[in-house]
Amino acid sequence: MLVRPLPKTFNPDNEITPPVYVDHFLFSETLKMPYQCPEHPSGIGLLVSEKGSCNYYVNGIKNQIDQNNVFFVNRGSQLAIKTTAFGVTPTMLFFNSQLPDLVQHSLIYSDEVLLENFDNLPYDFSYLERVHVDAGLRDRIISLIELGSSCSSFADIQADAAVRAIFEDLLKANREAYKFSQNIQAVKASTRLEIFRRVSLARNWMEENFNTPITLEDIAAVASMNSQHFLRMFKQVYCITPHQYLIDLKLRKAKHLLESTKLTINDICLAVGFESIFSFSILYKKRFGRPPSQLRKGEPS
Amino acid sequence: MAITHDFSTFKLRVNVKTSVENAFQAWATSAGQRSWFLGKTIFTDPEGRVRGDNEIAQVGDGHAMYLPFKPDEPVVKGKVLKTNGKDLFSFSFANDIPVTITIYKEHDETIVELIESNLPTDEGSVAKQFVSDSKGWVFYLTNLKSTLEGGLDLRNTNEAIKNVITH
Repeated sequence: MLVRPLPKTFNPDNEITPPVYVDHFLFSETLKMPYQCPEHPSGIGLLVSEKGSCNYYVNGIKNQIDQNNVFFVNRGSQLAIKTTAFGVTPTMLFFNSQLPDLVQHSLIYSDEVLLENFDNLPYDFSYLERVHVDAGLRDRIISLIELGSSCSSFADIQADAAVRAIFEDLLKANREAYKFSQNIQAVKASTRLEIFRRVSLARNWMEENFNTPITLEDIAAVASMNSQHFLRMFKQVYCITPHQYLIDLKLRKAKHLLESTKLTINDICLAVGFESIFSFSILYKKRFGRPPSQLRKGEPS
Repeated sequence: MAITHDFSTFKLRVNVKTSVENAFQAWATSAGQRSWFLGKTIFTDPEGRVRGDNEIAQVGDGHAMYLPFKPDEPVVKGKVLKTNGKDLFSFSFANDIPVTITIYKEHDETIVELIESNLPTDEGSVAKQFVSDSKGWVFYLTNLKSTLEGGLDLRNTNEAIKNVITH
């Protein structure tokens, strides 16, 4: 892995094809002046921010990335970077161009099967292209900056292993997403992937805004779809309605708060966005088999 | 005088006051490697059976090398490429680059000679493979000498300390 400051251009050879990375490249720099990189075809990479929040534009859509999320950019997607705030640290990990296909191949066929099955390459990773709300993944990418300049013996080998593990874990964590992306009943693969990308974008937005009063129209707007079309697509992808998903999300967050904080049941009920403690308790018991008061003995439920 | 250097291979030698047999076992057994190299190494036979701690690895065996403090994920996986069971041991290291160990006597001491070959020689790879790998081996060969001669194990055992040549 090579650690480099932010480049003026990612593909000095041309701006038409994605750059070919013969090694993993980690671009990172704390900005002392505005940084802009014009739209260009990207390699497969993970876009994060070490400090502040960065604006990455992928296929014309703005993605504001902060300390809690990571954007996966697919090969060939149009990437532009426009970050003007002083002190922000855009950080981009681009994988060795061969690695994603090798890792996908090894997950499907195991390490023991060698390259004879490589006819189907390259694999399609467009189902991963979205914001991943995963602070742990972001931290693993940031830790590579230190490893890249470390004097530890075999630090390069450690860095390569860490980068491979990041991609492998990303694929494993998104096996469900891959399966979900195949649920959409669209004829063309590109249409299916675009719908999946929009629906999962909306789902991520729900994850971040679950405790505010949101409507189906709000969520559909994030996916740039009308509400009925979005409802059908969401159900096709995740096999539940957005409303059911949102309720389940609130209950899971409530369970986490009950187990990890000393907040009262009433406070937790309000914190996750329920208005009635009665309906919260009923739904909680239905979901987890026992009422929240069992975790808070002595508190009225 | 212009010096041209072959960056596709490097050779390192270290003299050790021990027997050829001891030096060989330090490379060819799990227990041997554990006493001086990385965190641990596991050798598996072609059927996937894990070799015993003191069992000599054979040609075709797989190996998995783990970093100190990271016992779950191997940092390098490869194969034993060549061995004669007494003074030659060759294995694939990171990026499948072959490393060959030859052990022989010289002036009443045992020489452990390491050759890493087939290194890529493009500009980016030289810094990464030639410089980084040779630097790593220099520390570990020094630790091999120290432990085989009854001295200190020089590896860092404090997990909180990072960015040191001792790991």
